Amino acid sequence: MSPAGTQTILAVVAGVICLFTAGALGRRRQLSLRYAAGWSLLGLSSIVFGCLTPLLDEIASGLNLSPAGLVVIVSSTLVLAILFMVSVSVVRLQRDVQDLVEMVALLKTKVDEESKS
Amino acid sequence: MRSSRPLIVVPAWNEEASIEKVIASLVENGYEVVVVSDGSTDSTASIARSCGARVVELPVNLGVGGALRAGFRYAVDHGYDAVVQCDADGQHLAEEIAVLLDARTRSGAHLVIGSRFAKNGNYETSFFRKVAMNILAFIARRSTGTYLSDVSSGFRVISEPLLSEFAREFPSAYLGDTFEAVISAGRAGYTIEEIPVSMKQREHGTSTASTLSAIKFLVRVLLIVLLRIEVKIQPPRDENANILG
Repeated sequence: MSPAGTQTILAVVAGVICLFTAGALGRRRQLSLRYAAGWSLLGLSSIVFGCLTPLLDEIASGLNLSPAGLVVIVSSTLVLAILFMVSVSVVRLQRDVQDLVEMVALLKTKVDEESKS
Repeated sequence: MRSSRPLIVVPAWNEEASIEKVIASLVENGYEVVVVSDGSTDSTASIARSCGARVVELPVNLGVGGALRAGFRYAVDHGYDAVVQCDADGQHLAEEIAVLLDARTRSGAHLVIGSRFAKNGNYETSFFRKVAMNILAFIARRSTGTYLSDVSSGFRVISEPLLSEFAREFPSAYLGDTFEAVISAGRAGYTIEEIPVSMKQREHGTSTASTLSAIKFLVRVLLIVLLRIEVKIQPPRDENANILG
């Protein structure tokens, strides 16, 4: 098989796995819609670029890049966007957890104090 | 109703070896004390309670910043207008609290820091930590416009309206409760004063400040100062506030 054929198959397989996993996790509510959409976009772009190698070559040469370079840049950008979303969510969750932990402790203290008085 | 008495807030994480002596000393000096047990798995909370302190028990470890904010919230909820922040390891002397409170009454500063190094400070520390503290002090002076020699001191008085602001928003990252809190308060325009106090060396356990974490902290400090990403608090509303850069 030619290198272009192998590239197409690998890109499509990776894209399908990404799409399938995002869809399955989304249906099980283990992935929220925004992350499922992000990962699906990544999978879709992998399939599109894998199948349309001539289109990829054309876009890459228009941008003065190699096809492989274009794929790396597009996929890295999407992964980075998802990582930023995850980072923001983690920080928000940390703040929420801290708030809740403090509130629970203060409420417990209040209940204890009121039950003693 | 606001109480004119200060509340002593003692954040404690597994300090059963030292907490009894610390609380007994505070209570003997007539102070009202709340110990914030920061997810302790030993008998810190029960010992503190038996010594006469009120105890807020955090179910998980949040770090000193989180424990302090819980203490500030407790103080605000119970109407106190000032909090004295005091370590549970026995380094801070109950007798020195009066010195901090006098300075607060005299100057009206929102944040009074007890310094180990100012003037007649007698505290011994390693060379590396001294260098790190000097760098922090220099950065804090540049950021707040106030002379501060010991921004990492955890022996402080925080008064209203800064107390309410800290109860709402307080840095919770490693050592953020010391340096970042000072930068936040200074940049928001709260008045800060530093006075010399005597402190003891830590009696039990080990400090959490390893060399590696000190380097990590310095990098974090530089990022906070350069990017101005410190925790943002509202400026004071009273007319006497000193608005600084």
